[in-house]
Amino acid sequence: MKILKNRTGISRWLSAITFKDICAISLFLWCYAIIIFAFPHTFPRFAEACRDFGLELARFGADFINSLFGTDLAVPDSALTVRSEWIRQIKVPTVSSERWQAFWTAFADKQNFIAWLQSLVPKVRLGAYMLMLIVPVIAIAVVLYNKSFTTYKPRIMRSKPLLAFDAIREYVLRPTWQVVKDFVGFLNENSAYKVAYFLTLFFAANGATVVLEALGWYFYILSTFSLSKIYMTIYKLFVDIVPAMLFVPFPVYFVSGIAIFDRVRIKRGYAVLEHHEMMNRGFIASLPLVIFMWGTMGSKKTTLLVDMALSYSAYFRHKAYELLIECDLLYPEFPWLRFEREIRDRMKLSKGDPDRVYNLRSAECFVRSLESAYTDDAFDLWGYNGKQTSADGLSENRLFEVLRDYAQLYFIYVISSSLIISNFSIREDSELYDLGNFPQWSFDFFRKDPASSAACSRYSHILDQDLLRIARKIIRDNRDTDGFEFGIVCITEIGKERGNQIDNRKYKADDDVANPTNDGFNKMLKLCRHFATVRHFPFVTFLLDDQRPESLGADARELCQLVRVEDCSDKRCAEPMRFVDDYIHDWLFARWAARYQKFRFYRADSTLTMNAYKGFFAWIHKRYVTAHNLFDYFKAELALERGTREGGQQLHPYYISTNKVYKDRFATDAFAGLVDVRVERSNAGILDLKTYCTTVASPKELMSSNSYLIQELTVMLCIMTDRGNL
Amino acid sequence: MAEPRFENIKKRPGVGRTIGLVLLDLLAIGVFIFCCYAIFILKSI
Repeated sequence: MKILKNRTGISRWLSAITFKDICAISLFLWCYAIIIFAFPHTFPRFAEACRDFGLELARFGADFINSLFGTDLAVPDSALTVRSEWIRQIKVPTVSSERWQAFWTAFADKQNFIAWLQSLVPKVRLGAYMLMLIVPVIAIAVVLYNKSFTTYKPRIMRSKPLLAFDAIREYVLRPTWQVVKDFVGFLNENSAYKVAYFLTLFFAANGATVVLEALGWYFYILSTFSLSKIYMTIYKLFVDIVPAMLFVPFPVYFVSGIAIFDRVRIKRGYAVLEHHEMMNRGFIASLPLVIFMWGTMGSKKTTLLVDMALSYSAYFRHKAYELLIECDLLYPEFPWLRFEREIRDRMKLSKGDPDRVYNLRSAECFVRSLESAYTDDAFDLWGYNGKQTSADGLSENRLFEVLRDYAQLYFIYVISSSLIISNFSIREDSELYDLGNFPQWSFDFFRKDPASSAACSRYSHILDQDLLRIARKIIRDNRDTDGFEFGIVCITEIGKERGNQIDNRKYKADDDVANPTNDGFNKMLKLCRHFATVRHFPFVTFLLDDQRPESLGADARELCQLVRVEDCSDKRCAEPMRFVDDYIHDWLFARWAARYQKFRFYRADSTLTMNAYKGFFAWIHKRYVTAHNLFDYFKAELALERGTREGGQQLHPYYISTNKVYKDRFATDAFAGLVDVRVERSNAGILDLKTYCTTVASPKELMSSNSYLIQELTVMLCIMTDRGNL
Repeated sequence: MAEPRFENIKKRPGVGRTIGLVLLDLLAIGVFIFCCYAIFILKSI
């Protein structure tokens, strides 16, 4: 540092130049060399475009001043003429009716067609000779290649070519790639280089010339309103851009074309998924508060439940936002931001603080305290002294009523924890963006990659069933379980939890201990909206599932909307033209899988060819799987039925996106944690189970099954000895 | 839920799709021949 301080400005600047700077400047100079050697007409054309633009601007200015002030300024001639020798040398293509007619006459001439075919003969002959040479070579290579898969090699080892490639990769490819990556990172950090490259290449491709010519033409049109020179202008445009277009090699166009096509169809795929999501939300908005999904195992009822819960979560937040705006517009002059900040400050208070806002009732209490303070002239309501009512045709909407609703809606909107309360874990990844003003939710289910989705994970609340028991509870005097107000309550296997009349015969309503007949759960289902309604909208829903509706007692079941997945389509892809990729993948997969299976069977070694083959196919397959995971969806036909099973069924479509509901949202074996403990206790697995000796089981084998039927038959047929043995 | 579609390779493509692909191939060959012949004519007139 000392040495640097003693140096002059230029030498200090020079000493700061790194090797990467020298590379970047060399690349920049190389770009300029491209302009000079590959595009020799760039500078002359740019000079001409500057002159065209300047003259057209002067012409427009003179014309404008003359027409405005009646002066007589000299108007220069139009500059949009072909002056450049370079352009003049190029023959301007023309299409005349004679030429058009001549083309089609020649096209339809039999002699011409025969002449064309004859002109192909030498090329076809050459092709045939090439085929004669190439086909046997390829055939031998294929035979040897296929034979190599079935050569038995029992030793686990890496082949010599593979070891050589490993060395090249370790000492050449990887360091080179690292250097390139570092250099690209350096260019990204120093945007001056990026701008310089872009401007240079833009200039080389006559971009600046085209822009200036376009501006010149614009001023020409403004002053003349004449389109007479449009053909020449377009022609000049082509002449300007063609050299750069021809300079770029064809593979670049090919790869860029595929990349652009892929980008367009990905955009379209997301648009389709979002449209489906909006249709689903429209559907769930029309459903009642308690929904029972039923169907056999594997009929996607829990998947449907989770999908609906996620959509409800987004729907409730959005509905809260809509109603907040409605309240806002009733009192547009009210300082809402100050009010919101007060609520948020109170939400941060510790548990037990009397001023804390932690649910809808405490939000209401806060507004009541404001009202009493305002009435006593002790509080100026953040400087607001406007109107106190705002009628909307139905009600007066008193200020403090609207403030109460606003506080409750704001609480629902702004809490960052999940709105889902469930008896199995559901993961959400919605994000709350907050700059300190009005926060904003992002409910993009589809675009988040797994890493960013995992980074903003939040899991559903554990459903303490006592929350839903308004009479007897398992843990008495737990006042925290009286606090349930709003949310999306998800209960899987509800029938097994609650039971039906037959299951519950063993319980008595006057038992001291809570049981399904005396805990008041059904009453909670019936009364849930009374806890959760804000501004006439109930922010609560119950999503239940089980195999049979009859597993749940009639009192609860008949409150429900029964929903069954009547039919579920095969997976469809929201991304257009995906079938082309699928064909390529399936064609490759069939060939690769057959060879790989043979290879794994016969050989224990690793070869360069198989590694390269596998690496290439892994890349293709990853693209295939990722695209399908992101854009596949099922179209389910839901059969809607009343809980009373009257009135028949109505079918309604529902779209289940794999990207939304299978993004690590839930585990289909949600209770595996408990089951695992039971299995771990056992020392026996499937390998330890006895097998039959013949197709006809012996009496001993049958008895070892501990079957009720076999035991009964054994007794009936009197084949037991007195001592109980066979 | 990554689900490699091993079963897909066992499915035979539908007759309609096969006929469609054959027709598309024929169309592409036809367009290619037309373009080659048209260029030949354009060069000669």
